[in-house]
Amino acid sequence: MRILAQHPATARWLARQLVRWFVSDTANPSDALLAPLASQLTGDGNIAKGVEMLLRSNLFFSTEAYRQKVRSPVELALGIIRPLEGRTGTLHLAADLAGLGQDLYEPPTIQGWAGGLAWINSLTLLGRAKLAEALLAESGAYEGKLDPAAVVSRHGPQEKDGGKQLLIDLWLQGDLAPESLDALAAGSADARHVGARLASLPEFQLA
Amino acid sequence: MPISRREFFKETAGATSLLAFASSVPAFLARSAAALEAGQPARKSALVVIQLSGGNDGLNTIVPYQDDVYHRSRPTLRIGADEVLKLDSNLGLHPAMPAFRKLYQEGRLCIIQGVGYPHSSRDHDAAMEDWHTGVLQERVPPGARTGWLGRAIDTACDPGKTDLRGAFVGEIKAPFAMRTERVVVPSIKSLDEWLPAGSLWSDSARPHGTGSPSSAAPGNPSLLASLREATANARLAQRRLLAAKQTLGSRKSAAYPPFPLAQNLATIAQLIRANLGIRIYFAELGGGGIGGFDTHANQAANHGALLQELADSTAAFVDDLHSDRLLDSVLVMTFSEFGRTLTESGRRGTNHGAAAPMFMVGGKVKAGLWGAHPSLTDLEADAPKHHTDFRRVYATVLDRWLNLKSENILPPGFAPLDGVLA
Repeated sequence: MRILAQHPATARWLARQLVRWFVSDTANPSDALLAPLASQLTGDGNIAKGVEMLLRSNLFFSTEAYRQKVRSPVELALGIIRPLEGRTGTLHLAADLAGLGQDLYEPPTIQGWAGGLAWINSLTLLGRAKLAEALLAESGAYEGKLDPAAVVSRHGPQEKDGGKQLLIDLWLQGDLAPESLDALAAGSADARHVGARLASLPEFQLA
Repeated sequence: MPISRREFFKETAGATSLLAFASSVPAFLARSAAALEAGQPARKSALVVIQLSGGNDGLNTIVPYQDDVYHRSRPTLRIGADEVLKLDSNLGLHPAMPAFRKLYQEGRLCIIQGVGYPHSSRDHDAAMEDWHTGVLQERVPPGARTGWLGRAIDTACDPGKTDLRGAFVGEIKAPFAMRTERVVVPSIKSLDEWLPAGSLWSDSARPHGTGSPSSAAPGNPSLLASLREATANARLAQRRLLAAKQTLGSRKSAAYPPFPLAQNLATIAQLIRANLGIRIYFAELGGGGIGGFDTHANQAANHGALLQELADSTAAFVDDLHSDRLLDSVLVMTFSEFGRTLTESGRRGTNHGAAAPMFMVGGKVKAGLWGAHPSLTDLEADAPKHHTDFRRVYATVLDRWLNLKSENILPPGFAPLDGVLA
């Protein structure tokens, strides 16, 4: 094991995995680009330091890394719940996430989940939209514990659009194609409905 | 599944829901709706696997009612010539399965007899894992394994695409058989939990050309483009699923009985009708875990109720698909982890056994009894011996029904069976 751990190929492989996990499903960085991270990992084997290096790197903040990861079901749900400063029951959520393909602590094989576009098909996209609707609904399985309107009134009470822009800023870095904005304008202006529509957009499936 | 102009028009014009009420709309409208329906992507064959959890008693499913050994070995559980639903002069179906005898007479039921494998441990979990992986116990380290259907689903998906090729429908945890390496298999309890009230929106769902790449990274827009295409497909899927539900709601002939299995098969029929590209479905009877078919004690009533649920639910499914002319593209296959012992136990039940029959139902099966009924005088630890390895049945459905190469999915050496599929 010690010989394996100290082999330079191990560090390169690990560096590549970390980039895929934290930065991009699509990037295929050269060995040269990975070299600093790999040598950090070889040094004292401190993975936390390696991750720190990665998260401070230019690569992490580059346009190459922008919306280049498909959110897993867990990341999707947390992406809705966390920014709304809310909490929700976990039992029902765990079952819904398993239905979408992520049965927590029970990956299909020892390699874990395939990730990336493997999460996505017509049914899982519908299921994701339904989960967003359920999480944001006033009642039902998630008991209306998330309240986007309350977040808006805490942080942007002066907004005239019912908080739509605030939600776009909060969830989607304020970056949405003009056509998507048009479509959002068409439906109900209720913050719960706007939120559910936002969360079903292709952009929201990416991080 | 890119959207064509025609698709887009059809979905927005609601042509499929017109079809749903075909009997009450003018014939010319129904005809043009049918013509639009014909514009859907080509329908490929689909497999529906039903797991009978717990070890189904093959000898009281396909009953050797003329065999003295059978009658002597089962003083209370035996089913006599006066009760059995006769298939021929020696064998008959359990009396709770008139729906299966009807399917048999209509040429839609094939019974593969004597299926099993060498050295079954007769332990529920281990045997189920053998059936789910198609690779016997000791060969592959646990955790490195996938399910045989999972491998088939992986094979049927184009790399880099967002194809949907498999779905599990049921209340229990998704079975190991559906474990994939490369794609996600949705687990569905009820489709109502999968259909959002609002419709999905993406700019690519509009007529082509107005989609804006403005929010994509300049260097690599491919991931967002894939998501947009997948979202447009999901929109179509949503409309087709709703249309399929209306069809079911408006039709009286497809009356599904109030069994859980029937409800799951109704959901599968809805998915099939919506033509989402799914090739492999999985449903379950017996409740997961050790399962209702594990009839160690007081077998008669429990076993009969389960067989009736299987037969009535499957028959309703067949009727439903037949009335939409979809039956020829669907094959149902049942399996259980093992059969049961010949000898009745002191508690009016039977113990874990070996070989058992498998059912194949569909529009394109070669109806009849396939293979010999296992001998009741040449037993292995009180249970009938198998003459056909279950992987040969798997190879049959993979190669000859799904057109997926079984050599890439199963261990080598299992030839498909002749005379099961028409």
